[in-house]
Amino acid sequence: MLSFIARRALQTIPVIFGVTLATFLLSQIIPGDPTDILLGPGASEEARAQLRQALGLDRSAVGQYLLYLQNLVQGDFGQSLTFSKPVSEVLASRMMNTALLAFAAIVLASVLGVAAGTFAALKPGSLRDRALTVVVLFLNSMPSFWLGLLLILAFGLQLRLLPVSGMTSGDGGLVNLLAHMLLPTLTLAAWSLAAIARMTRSSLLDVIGSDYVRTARSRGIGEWRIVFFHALPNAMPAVITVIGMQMGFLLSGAVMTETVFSWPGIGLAMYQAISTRDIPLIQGGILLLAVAFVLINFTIDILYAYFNPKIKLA
Amino acid sequence: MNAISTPMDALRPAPVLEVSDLRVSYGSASRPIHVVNDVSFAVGRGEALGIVGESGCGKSQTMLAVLGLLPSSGRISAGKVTFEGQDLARLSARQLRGLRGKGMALISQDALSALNPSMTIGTQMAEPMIHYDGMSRAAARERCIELLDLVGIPGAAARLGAYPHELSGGMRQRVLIATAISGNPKVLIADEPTTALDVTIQAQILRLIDRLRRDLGMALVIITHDLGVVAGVADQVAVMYAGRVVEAGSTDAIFSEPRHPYTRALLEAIPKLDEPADKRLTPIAGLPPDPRRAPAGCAFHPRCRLVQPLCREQLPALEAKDAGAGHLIRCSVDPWARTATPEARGVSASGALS
Repeated sequence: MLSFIARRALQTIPVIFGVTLATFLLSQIIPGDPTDILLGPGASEEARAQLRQALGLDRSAVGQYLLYLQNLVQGDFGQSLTFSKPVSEVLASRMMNTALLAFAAIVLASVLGVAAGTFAALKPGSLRDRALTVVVLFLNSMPSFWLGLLLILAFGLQLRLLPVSGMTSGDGGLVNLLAHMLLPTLTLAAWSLAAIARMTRSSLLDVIGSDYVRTARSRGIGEWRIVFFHALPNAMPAVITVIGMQMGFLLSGAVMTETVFSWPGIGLAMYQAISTRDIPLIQGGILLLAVAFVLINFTIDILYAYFNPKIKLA
Repeated sequence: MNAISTPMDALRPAPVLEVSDLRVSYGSASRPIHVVNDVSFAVGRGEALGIVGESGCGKSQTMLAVLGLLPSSGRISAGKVTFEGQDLARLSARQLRGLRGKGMALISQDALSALNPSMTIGTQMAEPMIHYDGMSRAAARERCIELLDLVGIPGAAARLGAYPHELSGGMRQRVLIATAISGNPKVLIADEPTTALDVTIQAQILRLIDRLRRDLGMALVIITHDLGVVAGVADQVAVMYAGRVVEAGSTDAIFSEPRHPYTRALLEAIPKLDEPADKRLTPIAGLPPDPRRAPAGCAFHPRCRLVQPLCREQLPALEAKDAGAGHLIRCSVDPWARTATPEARGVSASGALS
């Protein structure tokens, strides 16, 4: 298992290089002279030349990329134009907020999704199975910004039960934070919950129809042991893959959800950066999200191997 | 319909497993599809019954019904299954669960898919012992090693930690057999136990099953499409076609005096050592019928060489005819009846097959 983890970890290195290359190319592709943005159109040619040299823009593309990498390794993501702070500072202060929201959402989606999918799969075709299918379809078809707005309308404006914007208000205790988290977490989790429930149901139905479940039944193993010890572990790899993919989607879903609920995370920062063409912040944000995505996939692969012993051989 | 019975019945042990007039249906109650019809048989302690037929003849469905393991869309719609005198339909789900593994056990065809891929051999073998029989882990481990020894797996202790995919096909089948006999079942049901194996391993596995049956005094029901398997292991044979038993009797009788055209056709499709190597085998043309569109009359008539007008209209009964006692045949024509003329068998005056 250790050698499997090590091998898999080494494989992530080229991927991360690829991501840095892609974010670098972003700055090359985007039209316009960066000095225009930084100094304004009325700047003197001298000042421009100076800035180009300071930023390394006078070098070749390869040279610029190497400089970009060198800065990245030193934790220098460049300077955010809108926040007038280093990009790394902007991202660092917001990363935890997004992580908190995404973590809460994936836990909620996984627990409820697996439970709902299992509940449906135990009695395929039953009333509860069909009712669940309808709910899943509903959650699946609901864009997150729309669901978010509906929740704000219902719980925030009509019922006035929950705060609808920001992370904390007033004294900002734990209860206050949780109250602020509830609606964005639900919004962010909804789509993933539906996807996880659907995959759990179909994967579990597959496994329950398999020969080895029949063997277990033929040996007098009881129904709940069959579900929890024979069926679910074998249905898990497919479900974990979906959960992993959902975590990737959550990172992008965070952009929408954080914007709707003014949640001070990376998503909201990205939204602001895109609307103000803050290229360094966009680059930094993409890089951070991409690395997070790679790390998530790495973790998923390891979990996958844990549940499916055959993977370790490959 | 009679169960297979002979005048020696008095000498035969009381049946452990008895199936009478079993019918298995799928689909809605208003438009049922019967995949098994009027199937009856009985096996006593230490006896071996072979159920033979092509794929899709209802053999496996019969045995799943016996074990109470039909998929949720299927059901026993008529007849009954009796185990040691108890009607299984009257047992609670809990009693039925207790019966599985201990009363009746199943060996399925493909050991790779029949063993849980994410559990080690030891864990799955020991599961019922630890969780239902209250054995300690150490005792269950000892018992697993003993069982693996019994089925001829060398270095049993070292295999307990292996996953099914780490073993060879023959080894896996042995493990599956060991798990099946772990509860000391009285009836062992083997559903095509050797089909997924290569020929040399097939023979080893069959010998193993036969030896275990004798040593442990189990009744054996072996389901196969291979009459060769039956000849080696079974005392009694039931030939099934399209969900019905078409011929039944002792293995000797079926092989020495096959009476149903389907049985004969199955036998003609097997190569024999005492015939010239270049003699062509006679395959049975066509496929078994789809249970949703079963033909009227005798289900075999569309493929039968000796079909008569009557066959298309009337479903023949399974009856003794003039064969030996306990030898039952379901055929209106019965061309191999002891009194039948050669013409009935489609043999012209010159003696050649038409």
